[in-house]
Amino acid sequence: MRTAAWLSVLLWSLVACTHDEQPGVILVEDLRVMGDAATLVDGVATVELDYTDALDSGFVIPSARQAPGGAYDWSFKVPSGTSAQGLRYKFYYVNTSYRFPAMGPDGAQHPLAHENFYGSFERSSEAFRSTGPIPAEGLEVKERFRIHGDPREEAEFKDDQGRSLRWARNPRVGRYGFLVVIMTEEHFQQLELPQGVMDISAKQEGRFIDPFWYWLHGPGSTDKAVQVIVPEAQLQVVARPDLGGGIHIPSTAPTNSAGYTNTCGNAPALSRTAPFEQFIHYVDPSTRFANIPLIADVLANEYTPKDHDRYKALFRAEDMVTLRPMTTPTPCATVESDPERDRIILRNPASRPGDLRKENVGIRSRHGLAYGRYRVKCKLTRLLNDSDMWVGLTNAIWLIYDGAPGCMRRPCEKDGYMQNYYGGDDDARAPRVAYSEIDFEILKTPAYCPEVSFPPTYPQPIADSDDRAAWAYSTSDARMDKPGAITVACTNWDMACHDPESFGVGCHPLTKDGRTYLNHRWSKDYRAVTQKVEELDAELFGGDHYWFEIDWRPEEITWRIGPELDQLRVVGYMDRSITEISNVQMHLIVTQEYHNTRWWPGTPYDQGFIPFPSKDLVGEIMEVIIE
Amino acid sequence: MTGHHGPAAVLILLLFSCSAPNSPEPAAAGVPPVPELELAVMVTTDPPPFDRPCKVRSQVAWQRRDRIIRPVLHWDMEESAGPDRLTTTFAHSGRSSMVMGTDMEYGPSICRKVNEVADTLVAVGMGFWMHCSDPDPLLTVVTTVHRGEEQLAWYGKDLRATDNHPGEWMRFNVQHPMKEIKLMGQDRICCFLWNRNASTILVDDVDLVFLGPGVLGKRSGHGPDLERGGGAAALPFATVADVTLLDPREQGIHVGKEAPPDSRHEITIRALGGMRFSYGPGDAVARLSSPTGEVRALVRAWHPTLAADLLDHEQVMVMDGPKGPIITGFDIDVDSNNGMRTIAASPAPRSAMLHLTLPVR
Repeated sequence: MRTAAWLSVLLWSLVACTHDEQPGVILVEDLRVMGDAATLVDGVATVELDYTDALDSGFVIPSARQAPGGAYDWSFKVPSGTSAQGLRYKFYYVNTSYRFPAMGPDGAQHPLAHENFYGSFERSSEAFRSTGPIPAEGLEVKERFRIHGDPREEAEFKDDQGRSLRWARNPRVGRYGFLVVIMTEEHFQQLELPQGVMDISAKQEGRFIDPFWYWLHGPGSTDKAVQVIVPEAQLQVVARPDLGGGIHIPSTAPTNSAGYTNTCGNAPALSRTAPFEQFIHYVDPSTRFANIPLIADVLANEYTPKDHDRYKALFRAEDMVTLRPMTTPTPCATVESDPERDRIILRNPASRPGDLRKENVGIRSRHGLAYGRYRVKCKLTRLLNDSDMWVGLTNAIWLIYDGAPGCMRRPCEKDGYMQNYYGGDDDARAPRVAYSEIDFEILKTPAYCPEVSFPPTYPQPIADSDDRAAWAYSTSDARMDKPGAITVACTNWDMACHDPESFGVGCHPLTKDGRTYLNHRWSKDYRAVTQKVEELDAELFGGDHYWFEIDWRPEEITWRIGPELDQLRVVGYMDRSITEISNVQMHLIVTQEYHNTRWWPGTPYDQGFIPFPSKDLVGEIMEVIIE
Repeated sequence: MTGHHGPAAVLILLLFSCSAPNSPEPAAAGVPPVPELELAVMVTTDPPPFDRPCKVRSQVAWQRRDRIIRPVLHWDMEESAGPDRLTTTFAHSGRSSMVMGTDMEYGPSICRKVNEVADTLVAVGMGFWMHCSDPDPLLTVVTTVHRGEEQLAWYGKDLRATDNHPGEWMRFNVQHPMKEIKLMGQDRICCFLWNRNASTILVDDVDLVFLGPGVLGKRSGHGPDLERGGGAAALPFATVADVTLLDPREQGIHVGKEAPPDSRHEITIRALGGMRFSYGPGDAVARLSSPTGEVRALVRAWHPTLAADLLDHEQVMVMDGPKGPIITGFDIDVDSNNGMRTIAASPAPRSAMLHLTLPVR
């Protein structure tokens, strides 16, 4: 096996010489990138993000544990007689999976190409390196590179002491390509390269110059005296946060440590290495509701839609209890990282007489990443019982902005973003905000689209115990459609930025590959746009596991689900024509949470008439892949 | 099964026994048979074919001082005094549906005074199944508000061509909020379908609901606040430790026989040390009180084998048993001719003895 791998490396090293190259002068030969540092399959080396120390230093690719010296080799040979004074050269890398095109329709740099994740030498301001004079017999230049966060060492990602916070702009997952630019010393001296090309950290006219535009499409591409090489070697970066690696308790959590374990708490080791933390929901006062003080095992069929309807009509208001969805008073009591099975367990805790709780539970990743296919294998709790009664939970797999310094969404040019998540319709607008969120929310609620079907026509309930028809919703057509179905809501929080050319209100379609997706936004100032599809609760949460994928790209978001990774199907799709897609780093969150059903108009069950759980509602997260 | 609240001004309650669907034209595939009782209709003065709403859903009412409020109407389009507006060509359920032909730009208008349908009217909702072959029938659901001769408001929701499914039964739901108008009790709300393209449209299973801000007739109130504390503690539910299923006939409850008068039941439970068990008309749950009258717990008479709440009936009888209260629940059928109340066959009467324990905090 090892021999085979070595042979493939050797073969690739040979293949690597047949790189793409701009027509023009040939100054060097035998360019090798990662030729002896990684196992390349079909020209691609694959590496997993090393989470060790990444919280402080950001991800580094490769880490010292993944390659000698924590860097990949690259090299080229300069034949004899190439240039008396030597050569100048510069190396670039770029994430090619999640980027805007380098060139816009007019041939100029794409207006958002400066957001692309590219880098060069470790010190961003370092310009072209020199080979020095070339000996008569020629020269082999051996270099090393690594990919790290904040490669342009931007001012907005520095702390108050001027140190670069690499983690605030982590390397993206996905594919990386490379670019090597070489010229003679004489030509280099004659050229007056823009400062933004010499130094990737320098801005020109207020923005960075994407070297992949400059050298492959821009002025640099026509200079016949410059050898521009795009090696075929590529690097695939994948993140697999270790679900058994512990759960950190953030300082904002309650201080009760009674639930702490070896794999959950705020011990220094966990603080340094745990890839996840317990997510403590912010529960806004507006989410208060009155709830029937009944404790029952809904999933064991101890409560039915008939009970819900009858209590809604007849249960005395003064016997209801008022509450907000709760968060844990005892961190670690409701989340567990299991190193034996490499999974995380979530438990919405059972209530007891005198301790009525509808408690949200969840975990949040601790390393921000921009873009990626977030793939989560999980078995979250069932949502419906045999009579289609809903337990009241929303199973959610979502991304939220990481709040890193400098991480602000790109400017919303027209009239800005709504400034605050909970700001209401009269909220001020701001040109840039950090708030970003992309959601899977799965619950019992109707689709808003098409408009012709919404809202469902439920009967007006009457507090008349003498007449069953006065309280029973079961006579409603809206209740009887699609037994066993729950709704998968796919949402992008664009903070009501009006820039997208097809920004819409109400139900508005988007067609992709012959399929129409119906988007819904309540008003022009509503901060999110949502698509919904109905799926079977038994399929998503009744089996051994199910996969959920948020494929977040610079210009589109695709939501997929399926029983296995090779059987995913699209359930949601949006692009920049209808919604502004965030460019800030986000964390992954998985939650089982209670919502006030006022948030979900048309929902056939009122959260207040769903009992408190008599047993823990358990969900398991089995695998997370970000690639 | 159904309660009786007396005739409303515009409604004449008559019971028609509709035959089960037997048309040679098949109904929609997979449609379950409709129970005969649900085929019973009322007679109203609405224009055909809206003159025969289904009794079970449409008769529900709330008496507010001297007026009867009926907020829900449902038509299955199986009966009308003007049957030329019904067709058996297709039906969403049953055997017939209403047809709006090329001669009908405006459908029959259903009008109600505000004080006949709501205490506080918040919105008017309408939902129905429709079938049309026209790709763009230009159908609009219209609600108008009138005060005397003046039309105060006009609301319309169009069927967009992109939402239409020609040749298929599809649901059309609409809700027109009434927030912008300060309505008065004598104002009239009218709803109708506007067939702007004069298409042939079939309509079936129509719901018209007049929505209030909450449950009609339910008293508002505030219970204990778990978050802020203070005030009374939340009442717990007693634990049903065991249930002994009994035959309702042993409690004197026989299907088809005259029902006993409905009343509040207050009994002393020997098995619970003399605690008082109370349940009465309008209650959702029973209450357990100490001998001195302090309410200690609520009771949900949940039977795990039946997966049902014994209190989930239109009428309940309670007696003391050796282990705890004996609860017998049954529904009532009311003979609209003579007002006689008999014990309904469906849902079947149920009876059980509950062994209750007070919750331990």
